[in-house]
Amino acid sequence: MPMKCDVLIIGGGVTGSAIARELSRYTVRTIVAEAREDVARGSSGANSGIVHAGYDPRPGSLMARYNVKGCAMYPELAAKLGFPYRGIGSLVLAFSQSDMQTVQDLYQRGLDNGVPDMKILTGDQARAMEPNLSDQVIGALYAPTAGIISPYEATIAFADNAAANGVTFLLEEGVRAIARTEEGFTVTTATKSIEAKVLVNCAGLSAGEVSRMAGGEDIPITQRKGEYTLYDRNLGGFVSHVLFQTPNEDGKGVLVTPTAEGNLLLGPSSDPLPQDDLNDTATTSDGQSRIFALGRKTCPSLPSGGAITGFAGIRAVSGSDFIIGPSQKAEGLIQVAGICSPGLTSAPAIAEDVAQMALDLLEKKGLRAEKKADFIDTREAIPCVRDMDWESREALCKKDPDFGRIVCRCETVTEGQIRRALRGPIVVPTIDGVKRRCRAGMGRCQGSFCTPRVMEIISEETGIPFEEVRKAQKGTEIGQGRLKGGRS
Amino acid sequence: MIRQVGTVIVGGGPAGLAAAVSAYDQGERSLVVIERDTHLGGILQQCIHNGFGLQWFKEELTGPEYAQRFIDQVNERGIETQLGTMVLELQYHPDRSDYTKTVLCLSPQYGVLELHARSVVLAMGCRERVRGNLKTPGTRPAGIYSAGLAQKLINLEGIMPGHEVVILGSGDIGLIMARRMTYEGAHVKMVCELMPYSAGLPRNIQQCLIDENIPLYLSTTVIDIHGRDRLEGVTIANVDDKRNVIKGTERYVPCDTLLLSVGLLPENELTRTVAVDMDRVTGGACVDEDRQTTIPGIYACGNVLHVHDIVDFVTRESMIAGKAAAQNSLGQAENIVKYVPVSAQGAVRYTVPQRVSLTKPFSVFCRVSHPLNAGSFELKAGDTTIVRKKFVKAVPASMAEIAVGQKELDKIKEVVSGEGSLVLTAQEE
Repeated sequence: MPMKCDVLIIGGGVTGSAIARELSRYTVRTIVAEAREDVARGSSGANSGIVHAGYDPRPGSLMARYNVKGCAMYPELAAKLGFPYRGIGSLVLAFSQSDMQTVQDLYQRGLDNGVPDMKILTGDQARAMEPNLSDQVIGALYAPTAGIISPYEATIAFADNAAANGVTFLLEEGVRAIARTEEGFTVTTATKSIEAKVLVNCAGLSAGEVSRMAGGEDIPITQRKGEYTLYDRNLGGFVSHVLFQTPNEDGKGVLVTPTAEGNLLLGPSSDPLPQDDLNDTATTSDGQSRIFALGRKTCPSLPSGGAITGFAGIRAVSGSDFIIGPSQKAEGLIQVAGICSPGLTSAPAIAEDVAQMALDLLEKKGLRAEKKADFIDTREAIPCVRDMDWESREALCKKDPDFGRIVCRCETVTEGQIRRALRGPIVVPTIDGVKRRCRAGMGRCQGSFCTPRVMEIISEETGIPFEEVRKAQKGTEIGQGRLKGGRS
Repeated sequence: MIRQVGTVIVGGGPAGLAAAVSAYDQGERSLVVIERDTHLGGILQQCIHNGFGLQWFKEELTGPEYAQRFIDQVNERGIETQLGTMVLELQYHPDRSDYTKTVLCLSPQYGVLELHARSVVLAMGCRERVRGNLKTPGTRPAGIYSAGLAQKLINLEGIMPGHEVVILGSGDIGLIMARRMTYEGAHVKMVCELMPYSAGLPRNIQQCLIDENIPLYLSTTVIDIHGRDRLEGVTIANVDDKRNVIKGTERYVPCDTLLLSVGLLPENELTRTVAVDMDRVTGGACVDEDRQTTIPGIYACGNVLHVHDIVDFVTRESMIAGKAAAQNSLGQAENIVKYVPVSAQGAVRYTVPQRVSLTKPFSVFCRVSHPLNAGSFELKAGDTTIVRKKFVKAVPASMAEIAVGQKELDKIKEVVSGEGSLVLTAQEE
């Protein structure tokens, strides 16, 4: 029996999840089909986590519009949906007169785009704000509305809230084929057949492929890989703003920033990837050295030690602007493609417009959606014991002693938090899924200590046998067989 | 819950247990051991191989047996232990007339357990360095584990983490796991060591690698990691004496498991919540011969102070710290007027203690920075040699002890009557 829905969103990245949340305000049946085992597993899970102020995009572009609007939406969204956001502001640093001209140009663009409260600073003013800044900096563009979020936690929050409002998330259901029907589309995924009136293509790197399958326009996607180095949280205070260098043709340049979770982040590189290699998120020694050298340009005292992990993300780029709107070729298909930077910032604003586009298409098909009276606008975050004062910790433990049992010592994550991470609304019973939801294993020992206990809790909560617990996708099982006389 | 306690011991592994026994035997009765895990014994519980206790008990024990001896001693004495409880914060209040230390613990039983203590012994142990510390590039598939994690999965959880194994780093846990995985039917292809010498004890090189026909490749490291879901292989390469990769020596080695045994780091995040002076080389606190840190009444011992080669030394050190903590708590401690610094020079990488009060005989423990052939350690006060201790061989993997008896102590006092310091060096002959 095929599943039926009004809107099928293909891709559970930040845009797909944010659109799902917007649609869940209405009486429409929405399904999200995600190829990977969790949401935020593509570009949305591995990027700089910056809420850009909006001075970069060309005035008049979709990027400009959605960026500035999205930036303004995030503080309230973070508070409502319980994901970390810090409005720390950003500096674009000038090291030369030509950089200074770029800073002037960005300032003007910012004004044109409606970015509030920007200032051009002298080098000394910038250094007064950032003591570790290079003395080669001669000026900077300060944008106080820029901020930082955890990109995967934001995506999970959108998805959780959508699911709490009735959206179905199908994980590990990559799209294999799309057929046109009278009603709309029949989409074949890994194990399912789904009938949908409207399709929303949020497939990121695979958006071109999805469009082709649905009979939509040709969307050429080029990929750029960005490598990052993540430092121990004891270096999280090394800088206190997002520090950009001036942008170039490959992107916004290497940044040095605290993360919303309190680590220090360096990156990204920007390297083209061959078209046929969709998932090459390997780090390279060359890439890691280059971002370190560029980071040292911003902050000459950037420590060489203290890194806890390196990672890489891939940006899906298509032309010079986002591609957002109903397909001109395939009726009922909405394209949301080429969502490279500032895609994370733009996602909530894009979601509002795309949800309206989907409702309009449904109305044309005779389905008039109403706003739900019982829409749940907020999401309760998993309590973060690390950031609580002692009184709150005590109160929480009294309610549930599991919140007094620390499992991940590096990030001070308790058993209670891990259990909560496994109780939905979207259950992802993997070590990485738990890690992205409550930070167990995210710290300086990278799970060396807590992994077995996390596996036990996953097994207890879900019934998956201990030795079959996975790190992430299929094929990443930790256990490779039992010992004789081992646990039974 | 708020309580006053004479001595709080943070950690119920070998260091904390020995410190507790020693404090009790010194007369301390207001004593509590805080342990994060649900059982005592710490990391020894997963070290099911033998070789423990040859020095302390003069017999060969497994890790759990060694731990149990101390657990029994703690239980026989009726020493209070708080399990499943983790200390998250220390405070020092010198303005208080008594109980100047506050130890804040998260506990499932009490929620918050706030202990006001006269003495605190830090015995939190160490953790393993990870891939991110090495910046090893490549993909991030399943199958890459610290040696200690693999040890826990096999010995405590009863599952095999993989079958075709490459081990990076020749630290002792890596060597032990090479043998352990071989015994369980895995194919351990090689151990790669970045340095031109092993980081493991000579006896482990013999018993775990040579006896099992597992090759050890020195001056070799992993430079790339391959595989999307499960690890598929690593690229290894030789390095020159500056640890730069030698072009042309790269070699692909198929494997489904990579174990990292690339060093241990004292776990001092808690220590850093108070303003204790730290030693940049050991990664632990700076201490005197009683293992007292630069905050009076706070002591550190075991792997949280400096990474030890064998647990017997942890026990000895912790006995010293526990005794001194009890003396401090019971008002028996000698008033220390001034300290003489002890520093490492030349081939000696560090010393513990880093300063001494010269109120009683003591030992200086140290490690060398590279292997030395026959030679001697020399402890000097100014130009005067206080102790010369010969060695046939000194290797970074092994700790060395230079004992200072009453006679040597008197000599030091003579030489450094005013300002002065002690310096430890090591030379080949």
